[in-house]
Amino acid sequence: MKKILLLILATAALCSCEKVLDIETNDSPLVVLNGVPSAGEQLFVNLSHSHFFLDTCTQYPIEGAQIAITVNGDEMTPSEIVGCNYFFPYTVNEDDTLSIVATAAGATISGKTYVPRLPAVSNVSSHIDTTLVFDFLNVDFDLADHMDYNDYYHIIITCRDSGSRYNPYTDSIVHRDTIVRKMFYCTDRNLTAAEVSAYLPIGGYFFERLLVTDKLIEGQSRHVRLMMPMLKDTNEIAPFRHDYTLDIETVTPERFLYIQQSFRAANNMTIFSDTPEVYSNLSGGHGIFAGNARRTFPLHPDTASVPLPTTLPQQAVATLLQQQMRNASHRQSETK
Amino acid sequence: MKRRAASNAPHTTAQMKRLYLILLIVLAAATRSVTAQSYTISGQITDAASGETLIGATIYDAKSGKGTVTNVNGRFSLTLKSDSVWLRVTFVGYKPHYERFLLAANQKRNYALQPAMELQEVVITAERPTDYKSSQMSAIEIPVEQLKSVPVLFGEADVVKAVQLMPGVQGGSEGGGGMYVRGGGPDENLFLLDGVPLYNVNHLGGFFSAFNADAVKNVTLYKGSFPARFGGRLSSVLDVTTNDGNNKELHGNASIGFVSAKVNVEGPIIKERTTFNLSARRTYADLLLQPLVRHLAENNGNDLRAGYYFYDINGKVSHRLSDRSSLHASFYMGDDDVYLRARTESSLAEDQYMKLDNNWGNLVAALRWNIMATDKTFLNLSASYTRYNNNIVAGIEKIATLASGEEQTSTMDMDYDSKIRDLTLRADLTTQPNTNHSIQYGCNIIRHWFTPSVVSASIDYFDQIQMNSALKIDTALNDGIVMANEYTAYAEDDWSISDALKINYGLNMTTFHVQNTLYPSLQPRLSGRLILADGLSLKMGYAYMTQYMHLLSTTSISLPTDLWVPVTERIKPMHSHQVAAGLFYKLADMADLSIEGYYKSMNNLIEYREGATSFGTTEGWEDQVVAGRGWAYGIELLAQRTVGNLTGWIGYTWSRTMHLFDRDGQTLNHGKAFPAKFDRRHDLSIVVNYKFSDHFDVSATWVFSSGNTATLATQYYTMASDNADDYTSDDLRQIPNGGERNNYRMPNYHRADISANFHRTFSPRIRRTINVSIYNLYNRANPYIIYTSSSYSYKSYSRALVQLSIFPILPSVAYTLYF
Repeated sequence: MKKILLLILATAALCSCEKVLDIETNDSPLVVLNGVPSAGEQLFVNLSHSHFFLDTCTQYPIEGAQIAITVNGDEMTPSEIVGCNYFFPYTVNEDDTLSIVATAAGATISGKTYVPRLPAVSNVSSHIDTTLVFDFLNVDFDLADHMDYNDYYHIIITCRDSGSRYNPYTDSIVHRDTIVRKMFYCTDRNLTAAEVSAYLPIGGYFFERLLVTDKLIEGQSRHVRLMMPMLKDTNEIAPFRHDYTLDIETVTPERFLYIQQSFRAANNMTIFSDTPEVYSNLSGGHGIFAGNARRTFPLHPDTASVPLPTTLPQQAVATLLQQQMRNASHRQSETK
Repeated sequence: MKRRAASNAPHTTAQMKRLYLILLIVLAAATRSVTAQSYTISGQITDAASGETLIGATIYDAKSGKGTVTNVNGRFSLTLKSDSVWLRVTFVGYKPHYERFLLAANQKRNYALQPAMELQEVVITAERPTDYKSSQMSAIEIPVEQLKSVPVLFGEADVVKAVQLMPGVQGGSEGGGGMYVRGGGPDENLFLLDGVPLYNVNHLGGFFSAFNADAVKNVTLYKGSFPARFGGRLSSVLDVTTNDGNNKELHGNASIGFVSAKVNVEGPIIKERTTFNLSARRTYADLLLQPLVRHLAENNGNDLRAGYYFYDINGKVSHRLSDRSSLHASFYMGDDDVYLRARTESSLAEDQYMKLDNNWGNLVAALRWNIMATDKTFLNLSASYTRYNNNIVAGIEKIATLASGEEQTSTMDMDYDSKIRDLTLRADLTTQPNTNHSIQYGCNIIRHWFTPSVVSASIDYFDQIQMNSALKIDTALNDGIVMANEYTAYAEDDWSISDALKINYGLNMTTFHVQNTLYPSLQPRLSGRLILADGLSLKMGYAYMTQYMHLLSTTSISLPTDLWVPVTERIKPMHSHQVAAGLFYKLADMADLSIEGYYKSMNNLIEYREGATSFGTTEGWEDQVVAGRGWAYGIELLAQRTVGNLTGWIGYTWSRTMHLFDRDGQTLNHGKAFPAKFDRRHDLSIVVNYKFSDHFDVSATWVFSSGNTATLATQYYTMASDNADDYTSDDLRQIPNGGERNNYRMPNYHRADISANFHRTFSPRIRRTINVSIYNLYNRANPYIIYTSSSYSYKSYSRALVQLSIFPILPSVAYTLYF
């Protein structure tokens, strides 16, 4: 019986097959305008066609497009076009107000935005907590008390790990050179735990989304502590080098919605699910036209033993765990 | 307490009272029309061999042309004028019984019918739901013997799979479970096991249902024109009754197949007074494959234990208290379990184990007391409990060895639990004041406990360097238990207005009380038949239905992680209006033919917002759903033959189902109508059983259906960045453009199955059957899922849209021993 069963299952496995499907579509390419005027940077926008989903080429320029941007009442046209990028002879400043009109492929796209102020950050410090099974990178900083536009903060911690280690299971040397970005958001208003869960976009290691700070979740304090796990590698051969940076970006509410929804769409792992529509503040096309301001801080964490916050946000922990289980469920359904 | 009428409820409380009063007056008038010279014949009809009561057996007086059928307890009551009676007692698969006598007083008569060697032709003269003479329409009845002979995967006869071969009923995707009736979703079907709801009937992704065919006595599916006694779902009621058990001697059967084994035992505990019936089955592929899984894993340097199994147990004990009353206790328990435990590589030099255990299943217990209160009135009192539970335990265990040699274990466990529980008390009465009326009325109260999801986490990480530090978290995130009460009263009358015209009218009155909000609903029901000629009738029906609970699912397949949630203060009940009309024709003794058309409108349907998910409800499931409406219409053709050596049916459905979500802030598909996920234009089933001899019979099926719909984002565009260099980077993220919802239709589905049964009798008590079946006879590659793959190219593109098929031709053998 066992052999018969194995034979049948083997037959089933062999006969389970993939087949390429013919697909005909009359969908016209979309006109997509992406513009993120960033304080201190040269003004540019990206204008392109969308592409067929089987197409691996990602950027198609649109011939004969006309773009004009009005900054604080002064209209300007592109000084240089490189591929799909249209550069304007202007360096973006905080508090600029901008509007755009683009004519391309028979469509007229328009939108407007402003440039938020640079994030007021002080007392940036970092240290590595080695008191637990995992080493944790702790990043502390203070956000200033003013957020004039009810903007959002977009915080990115980038970690570049490089080095070699011995893998006892495979009896081999593993070389690693990776860049891991952790993204967090906070806002002037109170954030609920549910919002924290919704705003933290991408996953990876088990603890990646664990956001531990005494007061951030309820927005009662401007002091922020972010805590992310590091790999404590006891089998290092070549010492690992960890380069850390902290980016804190002020974004407009429109940019925030766009980031939130576009990450959600791009990371939609369940092939059975319907794809969410991504927010756009443009009329006549797809994309986004929304300003930002960003500051980057290099981190040089000290290795020190620092006690954990006195109160763990258990709601956030549970949210994290649910998120991990959801990912597991998706993987399970896809396997199925 | 805040009292508020649902915004979509059709009537106010005052209107409800008025309608109720009218109904009582009509019923009272019907009851009073008893003539002084009428007498009643009452009794019970059983199987002569086993003593099992027969549901739906016909008792017909050929002289007066009056008749009735037995109820769910095998009892009947027939009131006739004082005269000589030419009584004919019939049931499919049994030899008819004829009797003549003079009716001059009320009489009690029990009949024991002898089983026929084959499905005999019988003269159906009364209200089998599918018969042209019945006032009931949009109902399906499949004889259990025929149901068992339908070829299915691995030779395991299945009630739900057989029902899905009928017109108007569709299965989900292959391996996906779910049942879709006349455009309704999988949560719009009420599955009743001995009158008690089951919330999840799928085993093994829907390939097997919770109904063990060995334990089943009767199966009836209502897909429209619902009698007033049923409520709570919009689209269908599948009413399954289990065997009471043989009251004469011990019998049973044991079966073994490729993936499962099962046993069924029945017999008397006290002869002809107390009986039992016990059925159990379990799949064992996990046990057989375990060595193979471990072997393959070890070859790859892993340590892995993984598997899947399901089991279910049906039990029933019946006790005859007297000739007029009996007591029945029944239970059902069934679970599916997926488990995995693996050692995984850790970046730390430690042993690390990952474990996952997903368990889901139903538990049902019921106690029923049947009383023949008078010769014309039957009372059924019952108390029941049902529970559906889904539990997932996932965790990681790390074992670290300290320099001292001491082992330290760190654990992280997550426990996800979702369940729904009901406790029901109900009373049902049937009275037949005269031959022209059969009145059913009753009431019930249901206490619901909904627990959409509870997540608890336990983290216990010890410091492996210094023993003075640890991280411990033990927390639970609870969406909260929502309790609700559901009160129902109903009354219906099956009224023969004339020989040609008969109607069934009734009213179901239900009130749902949740979160200090009352949702009353008056649900009128009406169906009728007009005999146009001998063997030909026209039937029409209307039903208004209300549903107070939803199954939240983000996928097109039915998963155990789908959440049952109640209506709330914010989420309103679903409603549907359904009208149907059809012609029914009995083609001599050859077959029953029917054509039905229906139109159904549905309101307050809910679906997840685009991109939302059902798993992890901290955002609150109410915030993640949107409400809309839908409509469905179609035509169903059925030709069915249930007697003789050649039996089977041909069913065809043409249908269309559309949804529209255009309310403020609750739009889907830009507020435009879109086809439902299981909007299939054509659906055809052909089922043929042929009995060559007492030793050999063959069955075959062929099914065809239009492909399912799916949403395919055909256009992608680049994600915005504030860095110009990012636009030329290979890592630039792409955003799918949602496009029209359900804009893509998968390839058509078709498949043929065949099975043969070889019977052999060893002695009068012992016989065996060998079932040989082939699933997907011509190895059709039907779509399971579609996805894009870089492993294939399409035209000038280096990627392709790929269909995965999972079930090729699958032969199987099962051996059953009857004793």
